[in-house]
Amino acid sequence: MEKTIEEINEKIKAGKAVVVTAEEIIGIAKEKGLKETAKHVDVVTTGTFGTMCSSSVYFNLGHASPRIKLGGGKATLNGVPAYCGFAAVDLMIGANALPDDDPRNRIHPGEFRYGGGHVIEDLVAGKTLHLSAQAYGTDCYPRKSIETDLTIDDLNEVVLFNMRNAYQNYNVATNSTDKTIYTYLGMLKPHYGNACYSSAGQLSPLLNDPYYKTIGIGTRIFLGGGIGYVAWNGTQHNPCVPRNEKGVPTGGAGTLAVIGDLKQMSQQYLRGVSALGYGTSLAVGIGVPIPILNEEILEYTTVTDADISAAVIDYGTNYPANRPAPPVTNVTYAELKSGEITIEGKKVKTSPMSSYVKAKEVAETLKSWINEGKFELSVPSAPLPGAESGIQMKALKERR
Amino acid sequence: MNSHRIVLHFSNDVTNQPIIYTLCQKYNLICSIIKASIEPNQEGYVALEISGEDKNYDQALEYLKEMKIRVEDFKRRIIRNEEKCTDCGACVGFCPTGALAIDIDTRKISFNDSKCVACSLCTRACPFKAMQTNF
Repeated sequence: MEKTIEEINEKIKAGKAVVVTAEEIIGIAKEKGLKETAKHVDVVTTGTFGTMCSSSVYFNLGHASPRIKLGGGKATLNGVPAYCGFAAVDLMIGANALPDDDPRNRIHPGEFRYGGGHVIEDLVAGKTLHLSAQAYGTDCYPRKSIETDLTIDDLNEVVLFNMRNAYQNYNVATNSTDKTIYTYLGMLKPHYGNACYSSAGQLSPLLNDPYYKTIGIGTRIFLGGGIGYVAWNGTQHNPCVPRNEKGVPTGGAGTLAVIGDLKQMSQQYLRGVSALGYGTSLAVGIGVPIPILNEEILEYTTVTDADISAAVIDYGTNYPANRPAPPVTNVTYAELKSGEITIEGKKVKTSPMSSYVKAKEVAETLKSWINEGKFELSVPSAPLPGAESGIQMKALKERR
Repeated sequence: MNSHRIVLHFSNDVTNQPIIYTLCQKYNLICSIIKASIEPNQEGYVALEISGEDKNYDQALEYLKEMKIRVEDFKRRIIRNEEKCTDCGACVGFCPTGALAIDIDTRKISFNDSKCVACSLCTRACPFKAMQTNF
């Protein structure tokens, strides 16, 4: 029996839709069987909360009197540089941006206490930020500098735009060398002293719709505590990686570019990150609803941590060199979440970099929005490039 | 016999006194040093786990007061900011004593300060600066 998104939306409006999280669906399908569950359940909500480095905010300042043209000029918010390559008063700030006077890794490992991710968190929290900007001055925009304090309420549009989020599966990081290293997946002790992972596993959006049969461009989502949309496939979207018999990619695969109004969002789901020795970033909460249109789509959402396997990569050697090499080993998320995996016969402690607690909170919140009729599903305008697209990731060719 | 975890703050004129020896010998206390920074003629601290009879411990506190040594609860020096913590668990793989642990069912992070030795590895591992040790 097939359902349509329109039919599911009618049920949402009538308060009759059956909505469960991607964690709950596992037990329900096991008990009732796929056929019965596909009829009964209308929406499965997913969630993830973790560091998503390709996050940014663009905003419109409004025009000062006299006018200033920041395009081609320079601007900082709380000392963190914003991108000034647009028109007069449209700025953009990325999660990894750092103040010019940040010592970075000059004393290794650098602490990276405040950067773009923290600016975004402070903006959404309603804090006052200091804008400092310089321009070259034109006849129609004569002013050459501005210093002012502002909050999110003083700005016109403030839009979270993340060009690569919600990775479908991801590397597990470890370190074979004889010294501690500092990575975006955390500190890695020498001689396979620990391993870090980052996916929400069975709750993760794209692992519940591995062939992007329902998630597409225009899909309405939970983004940072507000409502956002899938804008496009994310950068480095790589749907053609090998998959297991359940369609689960065995390594990093699909990604989403997402967009939404920062003014609706909350600090609870957008948090500045300081990764020792690496840099700043932003932790983002994302939840995608999956309409249960048929038994096949339902079956994908019953994926468990035991079904999801990830490659353990040596971040001390092969990763930084960008050398094609087989993984150190492959492990499942069930193993990773047990707190210990085995690498070359050695017991290695694992720690997550993304919060399963928050991921669950995202999925639960989205579920309650749908139950309360506050959130209806959207029909995608176009599909994401799929496993048949033939996309191959290119490495950077260096020519001289 | 009870156990107490305290931090003794020494002024520069008592760092050359046999304070720990006195606690052990005179007050019959078992002193285990968790962390310390003592240099001659400089201010310093010793974080201790002390076990012994309550009466002896109380008398020892009087002695420390007489010696003008400030005594602070060890717990006050280690702070877990629950608002900043996102329960990610990045700290757990580094905690050498199991003071920070993940509940296998709820995936929430618990912090048992009685197991903490203030090694500060968690403060380095935490991306949200939720753990703070003031030593």
